[in-house]
Amino acid sequence: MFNSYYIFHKVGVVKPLSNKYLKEIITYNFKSESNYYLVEVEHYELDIYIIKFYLKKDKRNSDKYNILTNENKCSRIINTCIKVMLEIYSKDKLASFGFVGANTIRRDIGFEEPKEQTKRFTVYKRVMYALLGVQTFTHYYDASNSTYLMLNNKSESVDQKFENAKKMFEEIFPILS
Amino acid sequence: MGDKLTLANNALTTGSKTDGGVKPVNKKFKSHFVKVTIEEINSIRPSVYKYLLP
Repeated sequence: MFNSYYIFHKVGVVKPLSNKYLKEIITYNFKSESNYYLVEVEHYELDIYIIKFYLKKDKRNSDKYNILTNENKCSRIINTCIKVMLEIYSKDKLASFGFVGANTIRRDIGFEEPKEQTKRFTVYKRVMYALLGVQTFTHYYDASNSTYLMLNNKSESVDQKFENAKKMFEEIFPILS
Repeated sequence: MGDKLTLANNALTTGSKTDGGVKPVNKKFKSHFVKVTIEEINSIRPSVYKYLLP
């Protein structure tokens, strides 16, 4: 199920000036059968990379992470994002990763999924369990905020890194969610 | 309308009409991370999948 993916390309790196934790945003793109997607990888302090993706046509839409594409290519799209993670890991062996499973919003019918334990979070969590083992990463999740964090076990002290990462998450969460 | 501003980090601020000031909404985010155990993973993980990273 999670073995096929779309060919992706790195399209740019932006270095933000005004965020004390965010070092750079690396953007990749890929094309599915019917849509163009952008994958944004936010590279934070502590070698933490936060993966986000959305339809390119929704780039300026404030709900871009919350929209359902109805493309039914979920596994292939998620697997493409995992391949992006693996590419980053191949270049940075200390890389840790995280993501937020955004809640679905459908303004046309007035539907807004609660932010706790979202459907996306549940799916992504299962994929992480299935494909990325505990030898490489220590896995953490926060179901109440639908957030997942995988800390690299090569880090000097994973427990200390976790405490630092938690503090950072608490500060940057308004940007992530 | 007109009394909400969005900061660069998408945090909302509200402007008071009485004092004309803009006050940040200091709703502190609290995380509730839990460490995933190998038992939890094994209870859910389909054994047919191969790890991409061990």
